[in-house]
Amino acid sequence: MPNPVTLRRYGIPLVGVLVAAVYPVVLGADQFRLSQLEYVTSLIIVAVGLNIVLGYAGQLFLGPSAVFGISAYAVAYVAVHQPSLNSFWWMLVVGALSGVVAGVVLGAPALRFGGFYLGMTTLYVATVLPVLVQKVPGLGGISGLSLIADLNFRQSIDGLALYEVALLIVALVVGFSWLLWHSAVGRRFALLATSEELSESLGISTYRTKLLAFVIGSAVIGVGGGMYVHTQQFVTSNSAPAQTSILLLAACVVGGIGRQSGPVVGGAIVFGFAALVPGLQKYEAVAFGLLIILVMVLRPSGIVGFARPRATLPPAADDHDEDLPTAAGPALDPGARLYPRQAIRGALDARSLMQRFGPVTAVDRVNVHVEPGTAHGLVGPNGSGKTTTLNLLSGFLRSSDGSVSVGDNPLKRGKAYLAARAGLSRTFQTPKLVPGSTVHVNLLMAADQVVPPKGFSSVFRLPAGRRREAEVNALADRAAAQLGLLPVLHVPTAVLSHGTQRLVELARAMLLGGAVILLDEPAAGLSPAEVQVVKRSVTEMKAAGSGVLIVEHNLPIVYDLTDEVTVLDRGSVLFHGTPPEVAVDPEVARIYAGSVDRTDQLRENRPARSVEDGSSLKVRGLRAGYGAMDVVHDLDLDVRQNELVAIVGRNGVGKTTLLAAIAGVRYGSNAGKVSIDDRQLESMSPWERTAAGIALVPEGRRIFRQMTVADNLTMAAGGRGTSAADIKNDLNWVYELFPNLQRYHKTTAGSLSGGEQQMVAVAQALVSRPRFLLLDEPTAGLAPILVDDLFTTLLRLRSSGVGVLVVDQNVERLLTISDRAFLMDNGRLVLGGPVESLSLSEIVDTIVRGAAQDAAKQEA
Amino acid sequence: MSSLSLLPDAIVAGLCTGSVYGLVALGYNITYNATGVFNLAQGDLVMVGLMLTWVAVSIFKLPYLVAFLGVVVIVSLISLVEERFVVRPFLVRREANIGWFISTLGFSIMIEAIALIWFGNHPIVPIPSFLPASGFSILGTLFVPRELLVLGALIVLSVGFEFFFKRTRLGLTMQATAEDRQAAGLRGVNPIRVGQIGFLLGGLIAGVAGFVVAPLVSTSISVGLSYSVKGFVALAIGGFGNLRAGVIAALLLGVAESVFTLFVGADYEIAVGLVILLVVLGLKPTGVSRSFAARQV
Repeated sequence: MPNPVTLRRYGIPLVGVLVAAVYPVVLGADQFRLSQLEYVTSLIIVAVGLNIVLGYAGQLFLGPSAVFGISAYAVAYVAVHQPSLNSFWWMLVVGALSGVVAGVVLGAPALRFGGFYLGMTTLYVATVLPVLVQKVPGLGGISGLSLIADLNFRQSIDGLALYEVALLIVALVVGFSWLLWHSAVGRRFALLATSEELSESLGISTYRTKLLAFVIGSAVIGVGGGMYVHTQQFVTSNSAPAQTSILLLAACVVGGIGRQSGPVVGGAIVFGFAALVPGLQKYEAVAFGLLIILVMVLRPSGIVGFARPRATLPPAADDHDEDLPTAAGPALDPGARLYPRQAIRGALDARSLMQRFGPVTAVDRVNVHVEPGTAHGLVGPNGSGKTTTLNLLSGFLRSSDGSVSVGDNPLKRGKAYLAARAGLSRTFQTPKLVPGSTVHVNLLMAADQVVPPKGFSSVFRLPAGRRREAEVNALADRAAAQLGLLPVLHVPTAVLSHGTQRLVELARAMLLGGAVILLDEPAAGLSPAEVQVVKRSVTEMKAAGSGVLIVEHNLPIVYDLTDEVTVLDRGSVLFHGTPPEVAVDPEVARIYAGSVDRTDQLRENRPARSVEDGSSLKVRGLRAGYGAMDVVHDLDLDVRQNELVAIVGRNGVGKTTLLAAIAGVRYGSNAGKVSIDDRQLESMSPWERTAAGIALVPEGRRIFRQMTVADNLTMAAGGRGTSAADIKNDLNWVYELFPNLQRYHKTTAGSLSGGEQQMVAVAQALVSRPRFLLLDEPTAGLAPILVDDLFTTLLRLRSSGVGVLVVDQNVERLLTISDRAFLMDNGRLVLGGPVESLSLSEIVDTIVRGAAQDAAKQEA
Repeated sequence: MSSLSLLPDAIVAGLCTGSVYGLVALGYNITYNATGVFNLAQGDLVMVGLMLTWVAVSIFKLPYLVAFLGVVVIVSLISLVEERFVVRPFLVRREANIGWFISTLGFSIMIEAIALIWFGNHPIVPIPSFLPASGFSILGTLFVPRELLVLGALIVLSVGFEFFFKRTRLGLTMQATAEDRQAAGLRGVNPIRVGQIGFLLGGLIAGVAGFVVAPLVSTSISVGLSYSVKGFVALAIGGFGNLRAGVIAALLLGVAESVFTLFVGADYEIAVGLVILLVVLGLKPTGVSRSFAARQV
């Protein structure tokens, strides 16, 4: 007795095919009805071809009727002029070949644009084609090409037999589609559909892959064209109107985009309905339009998706998710080392990398050198150019100047897939995996790059292809075993926890195991046990002779893992040395904690607080994060209305997420209570919270650059009334606080200097007359004199009854103006209280040298 | 020689055709700025506008002003319904997706099919206009008031929206939302409201466009998709979100088609836009999108 899943997966299609095959025999069907059914089969084949491009490879191809029409015309033309090629089988072959040609001609230019452009260009071709074919000489004008009147032509298969053979062809085409999807080629398509960036990072040329999908899909569509001509025995400009493209799209969407049987189910519904239920044609397009919308809105996986259960974690793995990496400990067996690309070894050497974005130089003459078998850390505060450097090294950005080489091979600038092929593998800040595929398949996708597939033998399961498949399977299994992923091997990665997803990425990087492995924040959001696995993996990589470059916010982990550290500040190298040297360097301490020059001046000038406490902003049990990963854990915080509260801590501990969560911006999970006085805000949107009196100045000067300063302020004003007089009042109030802005009020905000832009950002938050002002890194990139100006303004606001909550890297100065301060680490406030009671050196120490973890332990 | 002497006429005619594309492009851009969505039903909304004009003017014999107001209101309402049920479900999802590209296309075939059910059996008939059908000649060039009305509508709406976005607070909030949706939310702007207003205005433009093109194209249901595609070509050439550039590109496209027809013939006119699109994108495949990206820096 087969299990229910197998029954559903194979039983339902089998029954469907049998019903379709037997139905005309039992009920009887005249030639007209048969011809209609054959028409449906030819369009189902076209839908299967469209699904390969649209569903498998994720390319927005909206003009399949164009390829269908071209191949149908080609088949008819050949059949008329070359009677020896007018048999059924030859027509399918000619159809497939002309489909390939049409696919190349249409795809080669259109695929360069991608996305909407591809969609609209191909849709445009679909609207043009029926008009054009009437004008092309030799294609019969309006009446098209007809084989019915052709004395040389007789259907080589006809009657009921033709219909049954047509069904067989549908089955073969779907079988091919299934084989394709479950082959190395299909895996490459799935990667492409998920992320072009990810594909390139594994060494895949995305353009060629798109073109391959387009050509294979077009060949299948061409088979449909051949089938159409043989069964209908004519083709006219009405055979392939643009509306057919939309109906084909409907067939794929309704059936389930990217499912092997989706286009068959959808095509049978969309085209079979119209053919078999006469008199309803009028309403069919309404129904399909509605159906497309409903399916897209409610269940993008389509009808076939309805029949399948949603993927879940296996119960065992679910319960012990936290323990997973620990349990994997023994599996990290050095004996089972896997480095298939051991041959690719060499030092990574980048010289004077430059990257300008317009007038801004994001990376300025940076040198990075990573020897084989060593680990190198790349650190620096936010905005120091770490990520940009990483993207330059891996070819995701085309550097303005400078060179990168691996071993003796210079890398071509801005070609990520070539960098990957030269032996450079990388992970991403947020894990990039194919969410619908299992861990195993995700690893196979990397193994495919290690043992390059021969597409043909892989799809058709020839002996060579099967041998290779066994080889990559073994590689994937070993990689999974090494990182303790065996319990979740056959689970779709979408349902895995953030930490496990990172481990899958790491397994993939080890599998690719090139000359250099770039790890982008490998420890972010991981549990301590998972961090241990990361550490062991890095040791493994080094032992195998790979160079490892780690970009990481968590300095203690960097010190622990690396042999050398490069510190970036504002785009250039500030310091280079061993971890102990970096840990004690005063310059490094300065960029992380701020300058220590003007000590107590500001604090002495700090005006006294008014005695009575006004309202207060209360945060209770706040949890927030990205996707499945919590960054802020059960956090409590109070800010009173005439108080300045500071939160400090190293990068990546959740400060920005905390402010965003208070202001109502959700990145992912979000729970807990936020209130002003007794008013609960947690279920409010950001704009409602703004109206309730919270204003956040987000990181990075998110002002509206194309608008003038005055317009920037005007659009945000109106917190106390929206009459012209109220708005004017609001504006005058902020102009009083920031006199310079009045001078610039007609200037486009984007053309101001960074400091002035920051003032606009703060003014824009204030113009809504908030009771609580939240500022995220307001001094980043400001000259010291401007920092003082800004802080003086904050103190004035505090005295005038605005509660201020500031997150900033400029610890030293921030503490001089705050009433209370907290040190944040790993999503929690670990130290804090009135600033008088805090030791500055202790705080700076914990940030730079990572004693925070010890502090956290003591707290706990 | 004779072709050359007809060039001014061809240019004027092209400007009028281009004005239709321009109205579609304007509608696209305003909804795009407000929501980040291309409303692929924009061309079909124009079609609805012109069919309703026929109903109002020829069947109900309403005065032109009443017909105009009625058409604009109804098309705007349809656009609002589209925003609510076809577009918004995708805007509130956290993960980026372009499901709306397919769903707005679904909406477009749905309203085209509904129009076909209602009007399908009617032969194509001309729709009357309050302006004369005959033209007048200035310096040997023919000007037809009905055609000029389309150009006039485009100019009035373009200037009007330019003013709206630069000078009114609502316009400013919409402009801000277009530039940075999330930051606008922090400044007190409700992006869902902005999206509604965007679709309302997009519907308004489509309604006006339908009313002014009605006398020129008669009761033709199938024009929608072609308008949507041509409007998109103008948009792609001009750069997404740039109202003025989109309008200018649309006018140029109309003139190019008209001049091509004059010198080469009408047979391949339909492909002119496609060739222009391919050439422009081919010359600067990232150029157009870069201007879009630059706005977000």
